[in-house]
Amino acid sequence: MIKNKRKFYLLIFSLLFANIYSLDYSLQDVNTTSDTYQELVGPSFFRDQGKSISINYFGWEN
Amino acid sequence: MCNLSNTNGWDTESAVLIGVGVGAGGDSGLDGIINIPGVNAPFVQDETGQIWEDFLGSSNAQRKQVVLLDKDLNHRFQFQYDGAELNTSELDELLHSIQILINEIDFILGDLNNDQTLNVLDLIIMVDIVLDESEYTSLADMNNDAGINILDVVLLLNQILLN
Repeated sequence: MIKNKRKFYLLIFSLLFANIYSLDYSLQDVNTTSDTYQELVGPSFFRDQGKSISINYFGWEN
Repeated sequence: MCNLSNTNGWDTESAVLIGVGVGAGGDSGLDGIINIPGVNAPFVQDETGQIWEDFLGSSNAQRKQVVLLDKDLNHRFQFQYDGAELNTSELDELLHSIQILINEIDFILGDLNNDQTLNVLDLIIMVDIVLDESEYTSLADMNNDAGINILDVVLLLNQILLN
């Protein structure tokens, strides 16, 4: 239970000036079998094409 | 991760798999995503390590991690895998999480007054929910943690600012 509502609202309004960023990137697709080969792709690229959800797999080969 | 591909059972019209390697190893860094019949996941190389750092907290983070972003590009789920492939339980959990995000596409998370926009009116309603400890509503649960608190307020505020 938040006892001091004034401080809570002050926190909210101070966050109006905070830098909060979503995650995104735009890099060239190097998979020759991909439909977007050589295009600059990332989550927002595909979202603009209607694929709103991105499943980002982070890996490399030994 | 040989069985992680865009043919893996999610709605490929709504969700896309993207491989993110680190360094400049070329397409050999895909760790089994490509060179499999039917697999066509886009793959990028994070040569500076910045994407790994942004998503995983470090450019030296463990590999075989999956991060799901929602329709607003917010980090919603993160999974770490160890095996060469996903087991049944891991795959079920991943597909379930993807479906949660796909289901959100049709309604606006945070639109508490149902006016099809996110603005300060929704923020006020959410703050009241937090302060009054009102009944839980999934529409206000921005981070899907089964609770409505300051974290959800911050996420809603972020969305309002981005819009």
